[in-house]
Amino acid sequence: MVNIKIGNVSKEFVKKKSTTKALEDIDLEIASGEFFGILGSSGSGKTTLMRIIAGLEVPTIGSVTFDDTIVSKDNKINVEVEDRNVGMVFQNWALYPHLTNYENIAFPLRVQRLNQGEISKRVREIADLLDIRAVLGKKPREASGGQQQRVAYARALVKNPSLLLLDEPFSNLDATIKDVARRYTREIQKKLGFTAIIVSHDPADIFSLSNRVGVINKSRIVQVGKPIDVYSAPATVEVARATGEYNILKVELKEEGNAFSANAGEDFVVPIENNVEINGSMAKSGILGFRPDEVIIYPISEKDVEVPKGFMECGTAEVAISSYSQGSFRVNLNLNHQDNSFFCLNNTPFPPGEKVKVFIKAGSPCIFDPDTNKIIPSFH
Amino acid sequence: MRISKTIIFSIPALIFGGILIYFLLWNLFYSFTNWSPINSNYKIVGFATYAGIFASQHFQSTLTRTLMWTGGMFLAGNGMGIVFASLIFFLKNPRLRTIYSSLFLYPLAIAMSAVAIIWSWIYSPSEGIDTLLKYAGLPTFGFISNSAQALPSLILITIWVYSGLASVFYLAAFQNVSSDSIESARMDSAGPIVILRKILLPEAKNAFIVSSALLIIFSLRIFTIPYVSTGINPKTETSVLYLFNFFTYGYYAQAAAVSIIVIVIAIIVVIPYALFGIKRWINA
Amino acid sequence: MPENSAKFRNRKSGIRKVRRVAHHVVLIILAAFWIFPVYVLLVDSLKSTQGVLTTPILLPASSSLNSLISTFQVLMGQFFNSVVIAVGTAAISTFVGAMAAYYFYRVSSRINDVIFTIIAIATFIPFEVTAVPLDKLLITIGLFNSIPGLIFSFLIFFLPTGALLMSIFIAVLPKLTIESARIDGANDWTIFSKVVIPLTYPGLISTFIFILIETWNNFFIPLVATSTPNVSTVSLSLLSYTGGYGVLYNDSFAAALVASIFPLLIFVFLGRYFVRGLMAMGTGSKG
Ligand SMILES: Nc1ncnc2c1ncn2[C@@H]1O[C@H](COP(=O)(O)OP(=O)(O)OP(=O)(O)O)[C@@H](O)[C@H]1O
Ligand SMILES: [Mg+2]
Repeated sequence: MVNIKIGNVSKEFVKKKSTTKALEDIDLEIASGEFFGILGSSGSGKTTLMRIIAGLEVPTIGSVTFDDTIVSKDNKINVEVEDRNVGMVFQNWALYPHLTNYENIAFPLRVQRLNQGEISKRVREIADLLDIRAVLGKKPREASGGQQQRVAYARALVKNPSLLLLDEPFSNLDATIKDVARRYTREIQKKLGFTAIIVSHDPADIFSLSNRVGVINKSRIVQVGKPIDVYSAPATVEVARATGEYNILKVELKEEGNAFSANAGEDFVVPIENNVEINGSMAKSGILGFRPDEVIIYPISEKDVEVPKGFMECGTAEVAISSYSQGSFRVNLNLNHQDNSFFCLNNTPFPPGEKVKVFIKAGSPCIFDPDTNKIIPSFH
Repeated sequence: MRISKTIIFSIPALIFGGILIYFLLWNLFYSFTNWSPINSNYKIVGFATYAGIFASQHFQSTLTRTLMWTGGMFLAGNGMGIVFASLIFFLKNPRLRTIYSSLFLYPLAIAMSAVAIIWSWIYSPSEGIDTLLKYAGLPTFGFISNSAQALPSLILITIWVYSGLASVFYLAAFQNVSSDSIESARMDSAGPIVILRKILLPEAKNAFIVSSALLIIFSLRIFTIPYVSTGINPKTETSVLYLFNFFTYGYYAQAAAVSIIVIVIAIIVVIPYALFGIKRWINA
Repeated sequence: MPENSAKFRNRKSGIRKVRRVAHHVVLIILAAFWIFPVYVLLVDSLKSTQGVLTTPILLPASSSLNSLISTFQVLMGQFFNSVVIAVGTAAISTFVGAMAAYYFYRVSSRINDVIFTIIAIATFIPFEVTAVPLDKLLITIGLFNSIPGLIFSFLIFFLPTGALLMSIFIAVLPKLTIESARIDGANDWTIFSKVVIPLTYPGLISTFIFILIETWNNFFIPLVATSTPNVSTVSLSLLSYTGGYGVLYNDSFAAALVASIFPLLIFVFLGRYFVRGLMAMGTGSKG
């Protein structure tokens, strides 16, 4: 249980001639006992941030504070990794291949020179908690992926760390084991109460585990908040994409009396609910964004379709192709006279070329500035 | 920081590495003096020692011999290395491969002084090959007792010693060639010679660089074979023997100058090789 | 047509058979050339004096262990010196070299790279050039003509070699494994002894065997660093068995066998480690 403050941290990697800015101006505070998630696309700097918190890298500028202790600051490490009392689970688990699972878990305790009895008691306790007693005598490579992952957890947790760092801990697991792993991660954290930070590019990890999430894009934190808020009101197009699948359309913004709309061609007009006064300086063009699961489509041939409750009718589109993915069909749609396209999820496939009516959940679409990709808040 | 404690790990190795570098610099310094039994109170004489050495007929002939030795090892070592490696590569039985590889490599594991003794007897006019030739009424060679053949006979010994070394690198290179390209060549009914020339050898460039560098470096340091088989002998004396001779008689400035010349030659060979291999050395 | 193609296949397989036989014949001839000195070594070190007087070295004759036993008795002291020096040098070079390799692996910086490269290059320079400074240094520190002095001299060459070889073997360790150990709270010594050493075991053995054989066989360094037979190594002692062709050659061969048997047996039983050491030195590969 430790409170972590990351103050204006930047990190540069200098290699011969090229310099990579891995992090820029990261400012974060993670409360004691909080489960914090970090989302971001590949190469955005997530691992680097974790390594700086762990003490495996130094921040080029800025400071990292654990409770009241500055552990590293401005290219200098004050408290080394060994003394930070953090546990870390790596993407490939980094178990010691020459030691049995038991010895892997016992390693942090042996380093502390605890006596044999104490070590054995604590290893067995944590092994019971994670249900890996049966594989303790085996080498890591003789255990299944899910078991190895839990051994890595056990090794990270056995010394009662005040901070647990998880860097893509589930990405090497089968989909079915992933949910089990998420569940015990959550349970253990609740039970032991340590502060935890999880990095992932899979939003499902973050939504199932974390109290708050920070989204990194191109080395900067773009948004911090409750997962549900970040999901429904993403600050930028990139955040929207990092938090789940997302459609964007290039649109013209129109004002008619008190009603606003986003037009993507003549036969696709999305009404925008607006409760904020808009002044004359309103942008003419914009980006309309919405989630694929907030779209319903019907074949145009079907007569007398009622607008589903809570949805709004937006116009027509033509099916490009339908493909199957994870329990439903992914229908790709093209809009007329525009190079705009989007997709939605449906229980049945549609033949290519079929015209469909499109309904979007009322209140869900967001408008983004086409130059900066930032949300235009008054439209939400 | 912890790094400052970690540095303790490197200190013993750095001390010994440092002594090695100190030895090289020592030579550099004393090569500019005139330290000898006559001048035990040496003084700096600039390039005078070098000038004397380069002018000496004796030095030139030792250097020529060293270069001949190096050239012979380079040509024959690479040649035999390729022959061994390809003969072994086309064996199907893995046990036979291992046995033959070891057979061609084992001379490296024998003390050079023992090698020198064994071969001196093989070359002996009264007991060795020549004796059998004489029995059979064939002309004899003379080997190391014949002044024209002494040097080639000794070079032959070192080729026997070092060819297996080259074959290790060639064989490794051949085994790295994807078996797909060899199999598809087989299907085009290419014979082993064609496969060797068109597929294996073009992929063995690194093996050539490594073998050549090691063969040259090892031939520069050959001392024991000539020293034990023929002693300090005007027909087989190489530059390192010449250097050793100066050392034995206390001509330290001359010894240092010859050392520097040998070091320069070695560095000329090692530097390109190091640049080629530097990434592995420093894990960059 | 079918007959024709059958004939075609026949001819092809005939060529193949000839080629296979030729392949093996060439290999066997070359192998015979290469093994020939060992044949001579074994036959002649076991020859009786009677045989020496009546046959040249290439022909076998009545055998006896006399010469081998008496030569071994003469060289026993030097043999023992060689064991102590070679094992000592190889063990220290491997272990301390591994420590240095760990340091260079763990802490990478430009300066370290430069230092390491310079030392690596220096290990490839012919030892002969160090004759004078080595001699002077040993006399100055009072280690000339002593076993510790010999080990010290060998370490100057083989400790950097050990660091070079071990850094190649250590390079294949995943950095993450070491970082995990740091996160687990381990200090450098614990990481080195509990993680690095066990995980680079084959590399350690290769380095040890390589340096062991190189040290045992080295002739030049004992020649410069010693002056009396009691501290000499067995490979240097062979010098007294050369004295022209007048001596009884079975003693010469017996001495050569005594000097070679140790590295030769190691090569026979642990040769793959020696080869791996060679490969590492030459190409930086761990295979
Ligand atoms: N040790 C390093 N040396 C040089 N550049 C580095 C180093 N570590 C990371 N980088 C660079 O910093 C940037 C951020 O890398 P980082 O590993 O933090 O990304 P990530 O968000 O974890 O990506 P991924 O999802 O692919 O793991 C990348 O451009 C990467 O190439
Ligand atoms: Mg990462």
